[in-house]
Amino acid sequence: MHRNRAAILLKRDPANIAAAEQSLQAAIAIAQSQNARSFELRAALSLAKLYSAANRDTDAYAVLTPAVEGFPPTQQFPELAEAQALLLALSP
Amino acid sequence: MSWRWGAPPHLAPEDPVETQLDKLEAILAPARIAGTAPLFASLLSIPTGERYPPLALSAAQQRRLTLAALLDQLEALARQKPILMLFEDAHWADATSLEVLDLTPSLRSGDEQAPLEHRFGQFLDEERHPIGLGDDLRRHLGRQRPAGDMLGQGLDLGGRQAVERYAGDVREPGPGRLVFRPEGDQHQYRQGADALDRLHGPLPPFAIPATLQDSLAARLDRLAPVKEVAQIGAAIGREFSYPLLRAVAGREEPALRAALVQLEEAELLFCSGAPPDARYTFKHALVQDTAYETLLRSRRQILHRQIADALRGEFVAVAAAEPELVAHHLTQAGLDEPAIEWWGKAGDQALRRSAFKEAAAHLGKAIELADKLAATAPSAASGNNRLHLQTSLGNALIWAKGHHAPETRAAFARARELASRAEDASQRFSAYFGLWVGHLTRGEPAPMQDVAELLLREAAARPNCPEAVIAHRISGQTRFYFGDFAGAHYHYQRTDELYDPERHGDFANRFGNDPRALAEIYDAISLWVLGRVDEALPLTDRALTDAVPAAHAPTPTMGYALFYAALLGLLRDNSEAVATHGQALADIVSRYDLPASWAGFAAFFQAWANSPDSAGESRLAGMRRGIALDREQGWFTSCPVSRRPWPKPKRAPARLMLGSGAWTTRSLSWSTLSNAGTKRKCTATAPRSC
Repeated sequence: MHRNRAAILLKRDPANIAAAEQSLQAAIAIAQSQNARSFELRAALSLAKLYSAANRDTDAYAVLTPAVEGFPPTQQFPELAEAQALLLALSP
Repeated sequence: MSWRWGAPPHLAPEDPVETQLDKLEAILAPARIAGTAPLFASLLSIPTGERYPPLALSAAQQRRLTLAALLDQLEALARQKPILMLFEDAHWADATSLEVLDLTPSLRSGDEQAPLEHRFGQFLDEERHPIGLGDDLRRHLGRQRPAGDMLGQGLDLGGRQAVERYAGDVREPGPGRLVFRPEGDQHQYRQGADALDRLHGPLPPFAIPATLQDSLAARLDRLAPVKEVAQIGAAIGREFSYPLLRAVAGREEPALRAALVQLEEAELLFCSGAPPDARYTFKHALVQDTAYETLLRSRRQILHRQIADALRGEFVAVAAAEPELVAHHLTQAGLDEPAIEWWGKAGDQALRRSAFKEAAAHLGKAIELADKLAATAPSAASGNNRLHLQTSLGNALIWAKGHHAPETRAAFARARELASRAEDASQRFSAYFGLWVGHLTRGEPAPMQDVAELLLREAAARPNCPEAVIAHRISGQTRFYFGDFAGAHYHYQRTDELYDPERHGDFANRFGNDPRALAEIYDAISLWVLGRVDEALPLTDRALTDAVPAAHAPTPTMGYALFYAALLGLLRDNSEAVATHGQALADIVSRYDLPASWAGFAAFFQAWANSPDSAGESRLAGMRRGIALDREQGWFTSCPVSRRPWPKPKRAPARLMLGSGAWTTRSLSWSTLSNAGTKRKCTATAPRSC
């Protein structure tokens, strides 16, 4: 819900990162509290892309790392591969 | 309430169904038959077979449409010719009839083509007869007038001529002209007459007998030889049929007919039709009351018993159509046990017809008798049936009073207390399960959790308890709705481990769905959310395979399995999976004749999966169509969302819970589940939108 809200906010006003950022952080926090790792990874990936586009690679790396770490390997979750690739690109 | 339009062909229960439907259609407005005939057929308990498509409406919806169709019918007829609608004794009428009466004046507004004129008769005193026509009267008269004054002016609305005729009716209680004003109204009438005097000059003086009952009793006594026939009729009711009277009276037919003719000539009875098909009506309820009052108590009991026996023996169709009649006579006969059974039947039938106030009243009577019986002869009162009555009452009260009405809560609290006292463990499980499904369908997470934990404790206390699979299955689902996916997975896994086809094969019937197939499909979603994607996907296939043995109608196990398989596809953003499962769901809707809501879900999934790269209108339109179809079926009704977190949150308390009862369904018949060993289907477990 919060992740989708962020996507809509960004569509409406791509310059207003703060509102989308807040929604995505809320999405991540809830997903973590529920151990909902798939939802957490998706929200973290969205937020990492947002940071990366705003030249905040350190923040992007920080938010994506815990979401990817320990995620059970699978070929059936395209976002995982995407997140791993992004993480690799961001790695300091 | 009975409706008679013009001179309709008489609907006889012994007619073949097709004939009854022909007769019904003959009196309906032709342009509206397709829409209204199935509703009226359902109201009159005429099976429609293949003639009309099944109604597939939620109970509340059906009730609303039926009331609307009645008013429509009235309006359509009023356009053709003037209509005289007699609504007698409204203060004795049932709740639904009063609602129709309340709604009728609304026809008048803005439609001069179908003018309705109301005669207020004796409904002037709203304190005693709180009927909607009062509003209409107030528009004419303004507020806060004394009753007598209102009567005077009310009568004045009808014109001097009508007033005099009315006064004449009251004045002359001679043969063939009954006084029909209760004593208390005399004062008002005099006041009204005084008001008229002021307006129009004095009316001739008149006299009303000291008490009406005295006068009627005297007249009945003068008809001594036929009095007994009137008494039998009075025991049957305000209206009675010749065949039933004959069956109870046990007299020679010629003598019986002669007696009826005499009563008719004395204008104590109205007759429609001719024997043996005749129906008689007491001219006024007071005549019936008086005839009944003159019976000795012991004789009354015998008569009621005979009537109940006749209804159950010879008039099965009448008894099936109006079980409350049988129940009433059994009650009056003092036969408590069968009376409880029949009030229960009447309540269930009223529930099916969405007459919720009546259902609550019938079930209330059953419960009152059952409690009385339990107090005097505890062994005779069947605990399980008592519980069924209690849950049905709760169900009726939800619609009659509201989910959160104190009466509704009290009814469910009592149901739970009864469930806890059931001696047979298997009955207790069925009862708790029924309660849990009720909380689920009404979107009440906290009580869901309480009942789920209670079931787990019960199962744990009994070694090798077969119902442990159910305890884990619903515990899993409860945790799922609280967003505790790890907890949900644990319980689903336990369900799977404990499930034994030999021991649990009949659970799909007993608990509405196959517990293993449902646990697997929910577990697939839980595992996927937990990030264990590669474990989740094979489980989907297993759930669909395991749903097959339980897929026969009316068990919706396969429907649920496919629904959640499609939903998982949706979560995964995988249009291929959504398309496959959505198509399979659409296929079984027609094959198993599932309710229309399933077609709505299938349509939604298929539209979503269609050309996923475009956000084109057709895709959105298709999804909206699916949603509209479900909304028509009473889905997507908002319920209060519980914000109570699971007791031991791992990190910060969850502020938003996945699907925590945000949607609920209105079409449910879960109360039937509390009946242990029931073969009836569970229509309760509502797929939730995540």
